[in-house]
Amino acid sequence: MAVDWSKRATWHWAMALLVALSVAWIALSRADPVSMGEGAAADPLPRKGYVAPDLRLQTLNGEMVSLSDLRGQVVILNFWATWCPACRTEMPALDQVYRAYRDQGLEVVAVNVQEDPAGTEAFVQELGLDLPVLVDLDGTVSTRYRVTSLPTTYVIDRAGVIREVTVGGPLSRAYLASTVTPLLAEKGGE
Amino acid sequence: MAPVIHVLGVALQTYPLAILAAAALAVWLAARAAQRTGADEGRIDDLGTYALLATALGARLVYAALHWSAYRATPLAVFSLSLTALSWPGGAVVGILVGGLYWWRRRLPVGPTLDALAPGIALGLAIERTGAFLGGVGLGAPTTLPWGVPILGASRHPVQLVEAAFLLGTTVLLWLRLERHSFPGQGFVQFVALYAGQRLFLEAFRAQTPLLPGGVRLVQVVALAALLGAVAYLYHQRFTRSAVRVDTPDQ
Repeated sequence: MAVDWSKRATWHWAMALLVALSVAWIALSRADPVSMGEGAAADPLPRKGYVAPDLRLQTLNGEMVSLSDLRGQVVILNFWATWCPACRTEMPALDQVYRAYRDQGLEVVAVNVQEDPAGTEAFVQELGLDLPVLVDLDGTVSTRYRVTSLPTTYVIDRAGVIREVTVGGPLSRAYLASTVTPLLAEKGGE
Repeated sequence: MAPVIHVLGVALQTYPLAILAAAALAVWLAARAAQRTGADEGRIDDLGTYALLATALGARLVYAALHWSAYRATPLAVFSLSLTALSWPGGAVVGILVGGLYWWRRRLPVGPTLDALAPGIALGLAIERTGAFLGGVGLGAPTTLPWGVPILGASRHPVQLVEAAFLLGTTVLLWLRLERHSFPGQGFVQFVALYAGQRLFLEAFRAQTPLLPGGVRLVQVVALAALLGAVAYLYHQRFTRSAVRVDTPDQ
């Protein structure tokens, strides 16, 4: 039977049906606030809005660092290599931000991707960096974070949720400071 | 998923690239559509170009203004060519203001201009959604259904691609009906209705979305309001305005 759209009654019925179906769909497709609300996604994923996957690596000094131990702090997680010009350029900015904000709860973690620790150590000494440099010798962590280009930088809030992902660089000190400042002011974590 | 592609040794992010392509093609199609809606092709082209440039520039300036304490020491960082440090809501406000100012100054006809913009906006959104799929932005919810696509360790609804396909269909429909409007602006209102209906339905398959109390998805509520507003306007144009025309004798 053909619908006669020239009649007002047809439109009234169609609109009533549209509202009823839409409200039913909205009710049916409600989400679980625990797994989705406030960025508290259940599955750790290296994507904005999700909990950052855990990592456990050694620093150049041989000390073990894991991301889960840093919960409660704002973390800048930077994947880099000495052969990458943008990485080399942004490293002083990362270090300056680390020095300026570490007292407020900022941790900067620079993960060197698959390079000889001796060469990395020489670079760190040359620049006089304070920030902790972790060594991802076999590339396991960069693979878990789906890093396909260097530098790649994740900014993680006190609750361990990724709030910014930046592929490429060099990042400026101003940008890094503007990103971490509001996160440092947030409560939460632990 | 391919968030980064390497061209001649240069790493390019697919999602921002898709947004640039979407903006360029949206303006191009809107200008072509203007030839058929009675709007001025050159002015639609200018309107889109000015609005987009203002959006990009505004996004950076608003960001720097909002975070001036960080930029005060190195104000030249405002002019960084990096794709970071952008406030898109701020940029959108600046873009709308500049576009609106151009529209008002040039006295562009509202209905035909909106009708010309509609297919371009739909095409731009279709390209943006394709870029979102490639870039792993706005992921679909995990699913065990057969159409799930393996992304980041889980089988997920390819919601961005479904959105892109729907928007492409919307583009074709709007394009084909450009010269068959009953009133100026009908094409744009139809676009609003179709886009809102699509968001209302497909938002349910996204992995992450802003929530209201009770787990209600905010976007669906906004989409329902937009859908009802658009349908009510089409109804008003079809019955109320035609009744007024019939009742009012020609002078």
